[in-house]
Amino acid sequence: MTLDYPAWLRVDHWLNVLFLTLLLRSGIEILSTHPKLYRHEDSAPGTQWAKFTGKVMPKDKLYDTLDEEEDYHPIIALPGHAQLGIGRHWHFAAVIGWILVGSSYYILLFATGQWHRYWPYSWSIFPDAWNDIVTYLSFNLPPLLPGEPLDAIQKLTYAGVIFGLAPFQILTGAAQSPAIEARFPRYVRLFGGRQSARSLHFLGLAAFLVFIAIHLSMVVFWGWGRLTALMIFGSIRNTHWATALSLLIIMAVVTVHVAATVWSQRSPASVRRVLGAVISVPRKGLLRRLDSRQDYPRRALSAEHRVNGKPPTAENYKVMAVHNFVDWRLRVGGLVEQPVILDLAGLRALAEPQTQRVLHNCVQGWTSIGEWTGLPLGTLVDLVRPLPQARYICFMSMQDNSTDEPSAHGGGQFYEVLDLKLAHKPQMLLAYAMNGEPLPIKHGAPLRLRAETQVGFKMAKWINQIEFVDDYAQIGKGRGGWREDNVYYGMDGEI
Amino acid sequence: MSSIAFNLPRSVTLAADLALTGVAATHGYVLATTPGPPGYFIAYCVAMIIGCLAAAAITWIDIDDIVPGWGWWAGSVICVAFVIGYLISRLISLPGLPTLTGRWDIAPGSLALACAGAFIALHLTVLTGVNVAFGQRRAWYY
Repeated sequence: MTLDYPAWLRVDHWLNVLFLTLLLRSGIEILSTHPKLYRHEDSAPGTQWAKFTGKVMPKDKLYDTLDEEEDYHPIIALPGHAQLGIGRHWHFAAVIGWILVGSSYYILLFATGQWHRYWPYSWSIFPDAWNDIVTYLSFNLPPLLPGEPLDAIQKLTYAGVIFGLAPFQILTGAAQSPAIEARFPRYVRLFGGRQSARSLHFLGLAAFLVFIAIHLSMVVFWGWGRLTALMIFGSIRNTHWATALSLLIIMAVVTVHVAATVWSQRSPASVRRVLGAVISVPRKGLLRRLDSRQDYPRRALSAEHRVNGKPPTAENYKVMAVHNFVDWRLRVGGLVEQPVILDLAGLRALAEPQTQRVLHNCVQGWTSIGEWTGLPLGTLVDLVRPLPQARYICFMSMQDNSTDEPSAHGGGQFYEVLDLKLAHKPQMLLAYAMNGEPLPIKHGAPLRLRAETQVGFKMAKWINQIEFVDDYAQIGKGRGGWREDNVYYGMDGEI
Repeated sequence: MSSIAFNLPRSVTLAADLALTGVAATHGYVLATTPGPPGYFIAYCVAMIIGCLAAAAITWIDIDDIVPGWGWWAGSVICVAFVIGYLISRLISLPGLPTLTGRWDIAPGSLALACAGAFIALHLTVLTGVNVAFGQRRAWYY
């Protein structure tokens, strides 16, 4: 078996460079929105083990996690400047490309026998690897393994990255999907919980950065022209041309990054539309079908459930709050056979309260565990009987971001649109109580949505109106929600 | 406080002590494998080994946040002394150790240099507030 550099291996290598660097930069963008890492699921303020922000939050006034967001430079983050929605689109689109490239690499590696280049046939590879390290420390190059293209430490390192680190990143990334967490809570616990998975995912990013630095150093030490000739021509020839072509390829990768950044900054809506079309395939095909099966023990409840979004400041809301929301009314209408107007008592009387203890996944990355009690959304849907043409549910909030949320990237009334098909899924709840008490104002009093397979922004708070619609193109900017309109999040919140 | 900061006092202290142990171990290895070393070199190696291990141990004495800090400072002084000694041994021909002069490619020397550099770098991150060491408590609220 000749362990050489076939064309597919070379193509996959350079595609990997492109997708991995896109993943790294967009991953840093996602980190910037909540640049703190935790060990525990409650993400309690002050318990972070790492922070990448100089912001110090006030102790004497209400703030939310939007206030903690950072603005990273586009040189390190894609697209930079606190654009989480677009960063997420790039990250998820790039990971699809990375998985496809990785899958083709694995398949061809095993189909062609090239996997032998990474397989340690003998325990002696470990002392050999140590000898290689000692040789490098003496500023010499160690011998290659007989008949193989790598020395022992290179072989072990590449095997670790290809069969260890890369799948590890996929697995810890998947463990951060609300839909996967909701359906497979035990899977997430394999990593020590959601926040541990996020921390491990970050450490994986750091490991890739270290690997890239050492890899590039090795290419320089062994001869840039010789090694790039192997990775371009498949053999050591025309090393000057190889050097030039390698620099051209790197320039092409950089150009893609620059183009992606400029495109994202100038036309985020079109980035969202194009990449969203790619992402929605696995999102709807794989994640939409997952049902929430969460039932955290009472002892797991977070002492302080974090919050994103500030309460309404309108006078009529304050008056309602003072009177325990007896004057509050929920209008349910649109494409339904029986529109209704309900007060809080009427809403509660519709069905036996349903209670669920679940993990809340903010799109920013933090989590908390809470107990929510309320009316199953499906019960309300059955009551109003949607017309056949109704396809979506629009939840209107009393929050006006023009006045209520100075940290928001835009103004106007908050709303979110949910696919009607989700309404009867388990643990879809219109919550009016939290942790055994009436729903607190900061968590959406008197009524909020709980959609446990979705990221938090889909769960509208301070709801006073629900409309059944056949299309959301005419609502707001037509993207399916306030966050989708203004921060370019995807319409579907399963990841 | 630094924009980038970690609250991993035990991990940081352990990593620093591993670096110190690396310095000690390489000196032990050199001492054991050098044929007929001069007396002053033996004394130097023994002092380095004891110094590194003692400094590492002191970083874990949980009396207050002062005593572990002595371990860190002792470690840094030892590492800086080693780096100076390393440079001198390569630039000047020392009695009984002529083979070291001009030899920048001896692996134990490179390894010890890397370990000493790692310890000093970690100490700098503690001094600048990027990291905290054992005995210290991160006082950040948010």
